[in-house]
Amino acid sequence: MMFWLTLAGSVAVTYGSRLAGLLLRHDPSPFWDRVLHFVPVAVFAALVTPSLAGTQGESEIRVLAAVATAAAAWKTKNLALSLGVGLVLFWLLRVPA
Amino acid sequence: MLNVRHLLYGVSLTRRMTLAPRQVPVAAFFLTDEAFGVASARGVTSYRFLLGTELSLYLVWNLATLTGALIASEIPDAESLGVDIVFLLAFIAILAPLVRTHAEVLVAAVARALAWMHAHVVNFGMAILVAGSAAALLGAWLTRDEAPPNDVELADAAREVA
Repeated sequence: MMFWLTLAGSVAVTYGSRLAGLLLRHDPSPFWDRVLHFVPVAVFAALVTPSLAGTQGESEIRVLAAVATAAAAWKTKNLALSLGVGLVLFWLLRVPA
Repeated sequence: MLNVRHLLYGVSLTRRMTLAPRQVPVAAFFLTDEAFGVASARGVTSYRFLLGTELSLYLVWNLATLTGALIASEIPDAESLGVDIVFLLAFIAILAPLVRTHAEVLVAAVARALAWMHAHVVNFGMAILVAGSAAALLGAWLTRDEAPPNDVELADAAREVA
């Protein structure tokens, strides 16, 4: 019984929050418009923060790979290429350890 | 509370497009961090493109999960390979092109600082929500005297440059 309650709760929160956001009719005031403009930048910047250091004591390598990925993405706007640059650098720097 | 930031994603997306009532439940079901990020970066303005973005991610995610589950025994120790960095790098690759103006740089920096501070106090999802909302509000306040942002035009301009 507990299992199903937990499952139902998870579905409600997971799907509910996605649904509610799309259903809300936002007030088209210029201020609110500006807030929403900054949502992608703000949320993604926040999202990358907790996982930047990693759990295996190799935060320097991770930060270097992150910087390289950011530079490549900024320059090329190519998601796959930037991801490849970061991954290759990460594994190259990792090998000697 | 892990996923409440998707509320912000939904509201942000409704700025650029109007969805029919029957399109909303579908678009909501497949909405992920990555889909929202790509849709924002590319200036997606129609249901078709949004759903295409969402489905291509959903399909690849699940196919790759299946593949991983099937070949897991062949891989020595995925964690020791540090593969979890893929998430970090993917989010960074989505984020970087979104940061163009001084205000956006500042908002990103503040969001990072707030997320870092809150991560020690509340859970991950809550930290992201609080940091993201506060930094977005700051951005709006910083640009209060500028012309309202037009993300559709910005995306068009970015595409022409590229």
